[in-house]
Amino acid sequence: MDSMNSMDSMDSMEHAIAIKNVTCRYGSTTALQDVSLDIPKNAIYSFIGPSGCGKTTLLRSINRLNDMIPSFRIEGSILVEGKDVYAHSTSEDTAKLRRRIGMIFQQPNPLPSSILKNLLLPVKEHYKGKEKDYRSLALEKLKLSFLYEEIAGQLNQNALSLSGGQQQRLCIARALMLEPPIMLFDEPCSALDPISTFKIEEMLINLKKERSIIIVTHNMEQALRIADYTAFFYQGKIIEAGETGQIFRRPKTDLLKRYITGRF
Amino acid sequence: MLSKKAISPCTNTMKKAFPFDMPQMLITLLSVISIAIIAFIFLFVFSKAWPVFQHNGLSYFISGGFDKQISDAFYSSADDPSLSFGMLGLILGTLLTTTFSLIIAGLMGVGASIFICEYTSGPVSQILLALVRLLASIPSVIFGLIGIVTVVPVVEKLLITIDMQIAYIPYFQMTGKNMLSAIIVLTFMIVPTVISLSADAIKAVPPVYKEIGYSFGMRHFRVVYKIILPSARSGIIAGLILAAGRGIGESIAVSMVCGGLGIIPKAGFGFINFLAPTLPLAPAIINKSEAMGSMPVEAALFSCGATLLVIGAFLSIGAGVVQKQLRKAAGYHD
Repeated sequence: MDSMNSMDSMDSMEHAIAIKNVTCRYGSTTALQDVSLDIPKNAIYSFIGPSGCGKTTLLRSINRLNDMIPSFRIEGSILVEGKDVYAHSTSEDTAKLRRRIGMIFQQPNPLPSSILKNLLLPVKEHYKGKEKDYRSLALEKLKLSFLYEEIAGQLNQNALSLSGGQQQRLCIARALMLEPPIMLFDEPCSALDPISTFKIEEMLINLKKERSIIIVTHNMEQALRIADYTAFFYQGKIIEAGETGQIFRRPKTDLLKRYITGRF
Repeated sequence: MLSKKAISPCTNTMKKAFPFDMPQMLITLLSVISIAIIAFIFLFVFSKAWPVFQHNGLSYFISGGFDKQISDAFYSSADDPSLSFGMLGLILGTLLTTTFSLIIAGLMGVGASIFICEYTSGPVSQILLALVRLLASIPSVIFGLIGIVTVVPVVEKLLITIDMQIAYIPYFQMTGKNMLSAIIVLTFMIVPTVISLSADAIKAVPPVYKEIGYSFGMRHFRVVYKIILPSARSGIIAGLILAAGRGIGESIAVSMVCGGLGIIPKAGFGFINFLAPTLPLAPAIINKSEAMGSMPVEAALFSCGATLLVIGAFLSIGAGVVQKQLRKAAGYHD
């Protein structure tokens, strides 16, 4: 908790995201209780913890994706690039916010259309250019997600014909099309084989040079391999947060110690 | 060798106890029976209709005069049956009523299903869908009855003037029972089918597809238009095809409001064609079935049935082609 306090004292503009005293409820169930956390820029922050501990709720609260759930209520504030996303926001503000935050879901979810159409969907939604103007951008993003060599000649093929790992990398490329400075990953590798997982981890390490990344993961080795910072959630609270090395090598609480060693 | 022998007797006795795979046999038998029944229906209808097709040849499909021909046929002697028929009026009547009601019902139905699934909350949407399904199960004769007392007089009062009636007396008697009324009644009949199947298709779109759209900063109606509708396209088209099938085959309700005359629409009449009486193929069978005792009438009505079967088959083939094209456009190669 010490490291968190020291981060609190920094100006919130220094952080990509500042989460302050956030409490989330679904109806009468409390999913998150008074959670505060600062997400630094250009780093990978991993959220770990057992299922149902609130990590995904927090992740989806950042880009207001939980708004779709009618029983969802949130208190506290979440500042993205210094702006409170839940204060005085119109649907226009929310749309703008979401454009600056790329999100990757647990299951690879390309839409049932061609690879190129999948890639162009976000840009064509927000910019007026023609399809061929964005083709080079699409190819560039495919290179970033290590897909270019594998599927370069098949851009008009249906995206669902790709393998699971390729689909997930396509989804990352698609999210990158809007050049989001912040990216949220909700267990992106849990449905993938080790080779695809490795490729995505390598990509994440490249991406963090220019982007702030949060990744929810159940795979502690993954957190240890790629995350600069880690927060451990348990029953709707953050038990420990800080640099990944410290979290894993010198856990302060008994709870985290037991979680890391698998005696939970 | 020894171990092989030790195992094989056991499996052999198992096989002997059940010499055939019973469930598979049963399924094969049932499918053969259903295919045989369909083949029999086709053969039966076409054999009954054959004298009419043979007598008229191509002119069956490109000439008119059904209304007079059917009465000629009824009064013709058994030794010299009158088998001349021209069905163009009936075929065009079928295609026009079905096409227009399908277009209107398609727009209304898909719109309503979007509203129900995307713009109403859980309980309201469930109640609306239950109501729609109830509507879909109303017998068609009820639609006909309601049509006679509501649609027919309204169409007559709003659109038909005495001057128009006088002007078109040389061609037909203009009343509220006309193609427009048939289209309206048919539209209301098939729209619940369209809504209900489109709603199923929209609800079957994985919720995460919507979330992808939102995560790109798309607005709700853009998500509906760009993501939900394309993903639900197959189901929506299936609903439209089913509705088209129902429209083409609908007899009772349409027969009650269509005017009962197989007039060939004239290009020069323009919109007036919709105010002319019409007689699609299926209502014609109902309408003239009382005269079935006469062989040529029976053959003529079976020829209507045969034509309906052919249109239905074309519809189903056309639907297959459209689906394939759509899949190709979406990038599947199969």
